[in-house]
Amino acid sequence: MTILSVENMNVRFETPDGLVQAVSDLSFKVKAGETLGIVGESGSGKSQSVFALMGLTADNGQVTGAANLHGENLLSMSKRQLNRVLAEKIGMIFQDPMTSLNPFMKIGKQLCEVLIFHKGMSKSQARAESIRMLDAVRIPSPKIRMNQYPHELSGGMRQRVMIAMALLCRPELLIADEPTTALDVTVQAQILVLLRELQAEFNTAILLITHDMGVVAEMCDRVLVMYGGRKMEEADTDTLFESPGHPYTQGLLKAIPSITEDMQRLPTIPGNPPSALINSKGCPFHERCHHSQPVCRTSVPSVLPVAGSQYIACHVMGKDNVTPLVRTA
Amino acid sequence: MLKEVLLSARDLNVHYRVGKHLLPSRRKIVKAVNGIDLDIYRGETLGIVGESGCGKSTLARALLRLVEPTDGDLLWKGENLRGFSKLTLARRRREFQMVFQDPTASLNPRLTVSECIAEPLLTHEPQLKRQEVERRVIAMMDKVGLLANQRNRYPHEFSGGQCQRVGIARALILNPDLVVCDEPVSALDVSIQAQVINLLNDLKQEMGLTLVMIAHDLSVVRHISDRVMVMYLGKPMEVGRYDHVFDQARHPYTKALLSAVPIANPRLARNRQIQLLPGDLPSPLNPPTGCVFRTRCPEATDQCGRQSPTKSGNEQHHIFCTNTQIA
Repeated sequence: MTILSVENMNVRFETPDGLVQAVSDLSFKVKAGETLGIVGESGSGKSQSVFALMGLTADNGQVTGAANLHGENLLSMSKRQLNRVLAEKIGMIFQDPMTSLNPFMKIGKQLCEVLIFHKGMSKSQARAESIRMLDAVRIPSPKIRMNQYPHELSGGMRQRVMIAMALLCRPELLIADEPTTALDVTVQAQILVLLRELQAEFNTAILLITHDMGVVAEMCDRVLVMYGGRKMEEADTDTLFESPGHPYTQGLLKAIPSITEDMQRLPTIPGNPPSALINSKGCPFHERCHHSQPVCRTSVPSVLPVAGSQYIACHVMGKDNVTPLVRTA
Repeated sequence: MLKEVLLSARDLNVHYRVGKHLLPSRRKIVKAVNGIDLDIYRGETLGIVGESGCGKSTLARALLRLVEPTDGDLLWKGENLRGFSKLTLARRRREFQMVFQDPTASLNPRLTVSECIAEPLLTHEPQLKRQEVERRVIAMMDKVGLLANQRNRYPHEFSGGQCQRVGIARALILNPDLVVCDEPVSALDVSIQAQVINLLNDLKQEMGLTLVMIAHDLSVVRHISDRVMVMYLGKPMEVGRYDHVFDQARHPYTKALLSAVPIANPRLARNRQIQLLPGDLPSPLNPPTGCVFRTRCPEATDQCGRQSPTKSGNEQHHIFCTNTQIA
């Protein structure tokens, strides 16, 4: 069952330097209980696309398109409506837990506030529920932690508090924006295992934003690869890693050094990521692509299926397929 | 063949006094680097890995006397580095340089790229003519893959990867023997990271450099290093040739660290055993007695709390562990 369906979403920013197109024509669906990964490098638009869903786009930004959550379009709602829907249906965790927690408030108060405000619980109910949730995210001695401030916790513990807070209202969808990027590998492993366990326990779908292909391989059922604000490829995780279709995905996977094997020299993607300012007419990747053709300069490839549930946006690798497909199943 | 030791550290310590007690002697001590013995051989790449707070960056800085070691010996090409006067040290700095983590923050935003790269030359060889400086800067820019016509641009006009190339050019323009790179690629995207790693490897061959690579990304370290040192709370845990450490890790901490790295291969990822370490890094203000790792170690015995770990193994591969079953 599809819980969130994003259609032709565009995010633009008016800046002193000109119009910046952060996200272009992005469409995807999240099914109940699955983990969808959005991968991309800095500036690929992956964070801006979920910020737009959450109504967090900066004031100079403009969002168009549709994002339907159970038939309600998140992008056309009033702030008030959006807050209500988000509180009940979507939880979000951010990259840096220290900057997303209020440093002046005790952990307990920050958690209880959510429940009192959104669920109308009494103080004592909220407190009991918060303690239960801290326990669920495996925080030892949760009663003591309730009375501590964020700075008294380690990075991993803070991220657990963030996860607890996001899950308090039992959302159907958890959006995790680089949840482990600021953490060390051993702590990252703890958090990833925790997220998987909680997902099974609460049957939450996860939309995981990351730049780390390793995290994708560990966590995701399906993956969406973004570059220059556009979707380049979408496939289930095994397919993406075993037979990546888009030249960008291929290059990205090859450029990762292996921890178990010796490699002579890392294959690289030449050049630098494109500037979002230059509104090129063609494929955003064409300047760095080995397979680039004249057509890649002049027209944006549409997202087409190559095999089964694999979709790519490429003139060259996907040219044998002619069925245009805007939305992906 | 006998390998020449370029830099060696013996029982190196860097301790910081922290806290606000009126009497400095009553303040608590953080032992950021705690008794490290290390030899760096000419021509090798030594990788230093560990999690945040393990002291790897402090160690890197202490090796170059960018922070003053509290105790211990440093020998640079057989000379006592800690005995260098301020002036001598400043003059000799050209032999050992550093590349920093954040490429945009480590460049002066008000200097053009060519001024940034020329700065070390002007400091160390003030007698050079302007044309000669210009020539060398352009040659260096070419070496690190920057175009000569970009030389009058400012750092903010470059991407992160290009700024890191400038940082590398700046470190290499004096033809140093040793370059210490503190997380040189961790701020970069994967596609750019690979470019910079290849660049460092090429330059190492071409200029006969010795590299010390500080990194927390284990796959990067595996790829670039000849030897690896794994650190935890200011102490070495395991040291050895990269293939020994990565393929036949013996120390429980190294094993846990390696098992925690996400593998970019879903089939392998599903089938492997992640060894989760319980809890968090202990406070460096109050490190565990005996072996510092014992509070999170799956193999810890009572003995580990009483006795400091001893070195076991040979020069190619050794670990520091109290548990005799492992050592």
